[in-house]
Amino acid sequence: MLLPNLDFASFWSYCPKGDNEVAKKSRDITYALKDDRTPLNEKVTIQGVIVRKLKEQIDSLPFKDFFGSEVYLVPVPKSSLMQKDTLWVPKKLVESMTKHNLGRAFDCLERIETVTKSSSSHPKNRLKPIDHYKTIRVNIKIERPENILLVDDVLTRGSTLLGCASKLKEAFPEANIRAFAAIRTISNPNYFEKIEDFHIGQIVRSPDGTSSTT
Amino acid sequence: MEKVLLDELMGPLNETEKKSAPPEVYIEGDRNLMLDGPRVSLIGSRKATPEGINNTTLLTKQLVKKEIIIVSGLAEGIDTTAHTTAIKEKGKTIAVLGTPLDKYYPLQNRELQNEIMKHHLAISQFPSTSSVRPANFPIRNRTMALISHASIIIEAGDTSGSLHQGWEALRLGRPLFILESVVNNKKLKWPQEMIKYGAMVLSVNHLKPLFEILPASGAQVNLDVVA
Repeated sequence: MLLPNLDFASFWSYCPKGDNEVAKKSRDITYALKDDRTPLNEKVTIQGVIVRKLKEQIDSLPFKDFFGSEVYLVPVPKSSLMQKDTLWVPKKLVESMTKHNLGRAFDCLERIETVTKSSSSHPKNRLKPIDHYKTIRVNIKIERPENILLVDDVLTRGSTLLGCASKLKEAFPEANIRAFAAIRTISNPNYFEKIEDFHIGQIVRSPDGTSSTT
Repeated sequence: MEKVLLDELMGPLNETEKKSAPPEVYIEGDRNLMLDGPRVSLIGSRKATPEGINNTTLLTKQLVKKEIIIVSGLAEGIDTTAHTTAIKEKGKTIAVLGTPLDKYYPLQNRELQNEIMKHHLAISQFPSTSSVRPANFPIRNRTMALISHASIIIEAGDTSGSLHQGWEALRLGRPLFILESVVNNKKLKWPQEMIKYGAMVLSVNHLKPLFEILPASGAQVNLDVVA
């Protein structure tokens, strides 16, 4: 059954539109995160930099309690099937978080059928949480996690996260499930101010079955 | 001709890229093209159809207008059209060769190759001592996927060498687009298979999904301005 909502936190923001320099920079950073690139003057790829900064600032962050050594970190599957050795950034984020003692890796979700990528969907064909719920499988059920944190690279409308959380809730009904995205999308350039943007919000399922974020 | 590490051209490679990247490449031309703008590969058959040639021309013109650098493989057909249209439209182009830089294949592209080496950029992973072998072309296709921010398959049969680039782009997590006209061709099996693994459908009249996905610049990202 689908959850009506899901609490989430995000660390940075990006705007897919807009011509100002910060918006452009945010797009370069988002591409670099999705492509696992190493920024200038850094020794690790950008996901590693984000996790390092997260760890450095954790005590002052409004979502400090999302993390902890007993939190099970679940990487969010890609929207398609994966060949062997395919780049999967959420998995890398989870590995870095585990190294920094922000939680423990729990790779339990698998995409069993491809869904059309939301970035290329027309609004009326927008993917819904149910589309993800139906195409995701929970593979490991032996653990009894109290706290689960779904980890994704980029959050847009949250349908993937809400679909995944609903699936996890069925497998682990007692668990407290929340989500973290390294970067949150702010579609309207008028609302986009800066890249560093610590945010706590909620993914909400609408009556028409789509989802949006607060 | 200069021998360089790929890291010098595009910044440090990630673990996924290192698995198939050549240890070094030979370049001739303007290496700053690797920093100037987003790089998009146009790939397709050597025996191109008139529709494929027309779609390549339409696409290249629109990409050049957006200051996107056109990457292709300097083969006959789609590749030649992509490079020549980019030059004619006063854009920039990068050729990734399946031969050493001092060999010409096909021979009729000699002048085009020289023009690219002089005013644009040519890249090859094959040293001048190596011979021209058919097996080098699919290897070259994977390198093209590696240096491109996105790849577009314009047309390809079920056994085309272009498919190597498509699968490699998907493995690298790079956006891969297949033209709508190819996806609608029910005789082909590969488009549906690639869509299952993340390829997206693109119409030559609606390139917004491509433009939205590309970075604004080709340079290594700088995080100094994040806060």
